[in-house]
Amino acid sequence: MADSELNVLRGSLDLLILKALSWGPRHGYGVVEWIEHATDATFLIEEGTLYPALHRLERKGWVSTEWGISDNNRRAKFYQLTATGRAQLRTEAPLWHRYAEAIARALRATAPEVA
Amino acid sequence: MTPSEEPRRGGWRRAFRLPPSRAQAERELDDEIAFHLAMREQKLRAGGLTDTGAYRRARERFGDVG
Repeated sequence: MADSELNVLRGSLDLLILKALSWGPRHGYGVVEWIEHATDATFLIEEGTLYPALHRLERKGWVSTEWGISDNNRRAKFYQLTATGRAQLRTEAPLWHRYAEAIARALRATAPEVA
Repeated sequence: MTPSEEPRRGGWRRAFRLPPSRAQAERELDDEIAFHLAMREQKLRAGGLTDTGAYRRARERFGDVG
């Protein structure tokens, strides 16, 4: 996969993770479940992709972590948005909508001519 | 320092807000992955797989895009 494609994928995944955490802390499995449900199973995130992404977000200061107890009484690491991460989500999400709509508009074009 | 006075694993580093040691970071990642796989197995068993089937299927999806 080309570096540019990888960067687009990573940026998309980062944004989805920030969104998953916007309602409160989740463990990694909870983040994956939310993304799968919210994207109607379009994105099935594997552990080998998720955890490097979560740790990347932690290094950037967009999420913080704390060990706790899950709903079914197991020890788990929970991720939550920092103030910086929440600001990042607020800034990036509208940009992503704009980019996505611009690309969709171009792909819907039915004529080759430039007006 | 006696064994009873020794700080819990990671205690001193956490108290001084130091990042975890490499060994501790690796242990924590192992624990995280183990939890994730256990949750996936639980879901697969709830969906009808046997214990062995759930164990194998949970680990099939462990991928690495990089």
